[in-house]
Amino acid sequence: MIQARGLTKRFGSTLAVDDLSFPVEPGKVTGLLGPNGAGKSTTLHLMLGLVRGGGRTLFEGRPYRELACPMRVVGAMLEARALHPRRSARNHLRMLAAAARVPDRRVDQVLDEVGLAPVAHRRAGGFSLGMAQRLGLAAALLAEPRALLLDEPANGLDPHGVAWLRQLLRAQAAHGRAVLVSSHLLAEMQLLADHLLVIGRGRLLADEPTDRLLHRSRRQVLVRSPDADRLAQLLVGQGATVKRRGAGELTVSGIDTQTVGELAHQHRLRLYELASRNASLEAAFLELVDGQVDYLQAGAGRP
Amino acid sequence: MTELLVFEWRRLRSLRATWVLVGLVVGFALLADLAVGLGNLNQPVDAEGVAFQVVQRDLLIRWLVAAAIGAQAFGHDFRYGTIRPTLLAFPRRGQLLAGKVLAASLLSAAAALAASAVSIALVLALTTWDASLFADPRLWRSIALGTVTTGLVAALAVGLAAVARGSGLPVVLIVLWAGVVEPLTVVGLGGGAAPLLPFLSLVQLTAYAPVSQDLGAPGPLAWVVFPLSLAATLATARLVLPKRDATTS
Repeated sequence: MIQARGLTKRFGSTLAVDDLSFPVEPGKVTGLLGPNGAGKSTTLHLMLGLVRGGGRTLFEGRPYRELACPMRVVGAMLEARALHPRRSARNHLRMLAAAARVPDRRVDQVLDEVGLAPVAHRRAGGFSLGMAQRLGLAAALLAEPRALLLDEPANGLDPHGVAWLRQLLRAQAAHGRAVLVSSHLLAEMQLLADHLLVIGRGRLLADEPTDRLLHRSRRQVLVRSPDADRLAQLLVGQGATVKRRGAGELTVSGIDTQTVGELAHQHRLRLYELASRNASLEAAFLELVDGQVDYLQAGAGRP
Repeated sequence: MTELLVFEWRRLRSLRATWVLVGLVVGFALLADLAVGLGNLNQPVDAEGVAFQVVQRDLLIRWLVAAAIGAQAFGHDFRYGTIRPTLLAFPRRGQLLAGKVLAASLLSAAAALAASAVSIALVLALTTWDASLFADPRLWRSIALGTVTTGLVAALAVGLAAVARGSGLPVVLIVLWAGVVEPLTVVGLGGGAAPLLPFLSLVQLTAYAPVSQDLGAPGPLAWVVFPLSLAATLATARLVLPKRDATTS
């Protein structure tokens, strides 16, 4: 069990992580989801004591730096390219194996598990991003830890690699390990994560099971009408939540398309478009992080 | 600490730069002894001559290599971002500093000792000598202190690299200080200033006889100046390391 409490990090005047508290439960894959610059990586670094900031994270009741053999408790992959380019993959892992008191045969075993056995003696500097990610995963898995913290592990992996990663992480969770994975790949998270932590501008926007988050978006209805203002008033009166998405556009939640259509018909309001939004994590995510995005191109971010 | 030393040993061992640096120390001694020995083939040599060839002549080269080995201990970690996996393996930063100091010092001292052994073998093979020179404690003292001081210079470089978060600046600082600032100070103030200068005080200590270095006899101060500088550097590193984020340089 991992418990993060009050994680806070400020870079100058920017509050990168704002009082984040959440648990990461064993036997589940927990996704840490957020747009670029939301504070996902900083959160993982804070949890592991690699950057200084407020709050604390307890791994099995103790901060990371107080663990007797930390690599046996938490396996972390934060940056695939954190390798000496002239050191071989096997030597990189052998070095880490010494820290975790892991025998060399485990190094060969884990290289085989991540598919790097044929290139074990090659210099890591010549690895593609996908291969470097696999080596980073091998390092995280090396000491067979009881928890995994992985920062964007699917980056650089081909579709086969992504499917393999999904299977691997599901299997780790099935063995009772706590798995925390940060990502901005929504479709992948929808398939992988049991539970989601959504952050935007360093703040926790959602902490709930993936199913519930998906269910939330299922109820959304998109409406385009020249009488949008009047319709919005009527919908709010019916208990719906209405968000204006631009001139004449509404996103309505808490009500279905049929009710919206009948309400408009009753009050002789014109509708140009009436659609229920597909149940997707993307829809739920965009709804959540609306206005919480630091780096956004013009016109983006609208569902 | 055993895990940390094995970790550091594997880290050092798996880098070509380490072997190039160690090879430089031993190779330089080998070539210099061959050149000197062949020029003075079968000439008699005394304990002072042996001490000069085995320790004094190569002292600055050995310190330079020790500085490079020590600086790489943290320098590579910050340069290539491996500081993060390193800190994940050893999150207690004071302990990590101690382990790196110990590993770099031991390796540098071992390289210096190996170079001294090669030198002795060659000097004895190419010159004429009397067995009594081995009974001279000043020869062994010179060899022992030459080895220890090389380890101390490596330790200083580890501390500087931890503060500077890179390997270039510590080596440049040590070269400038030992090779330019201190000699110029002695030129300006005279040999009497040597015991107050960290590196020249070490040169005094390793000398077979004071006269052989023209720096005067090493007083009690010579024993404490470098260790004090080292302690101050390591204390600063110990203070600074935990206060910084583990980012690359």
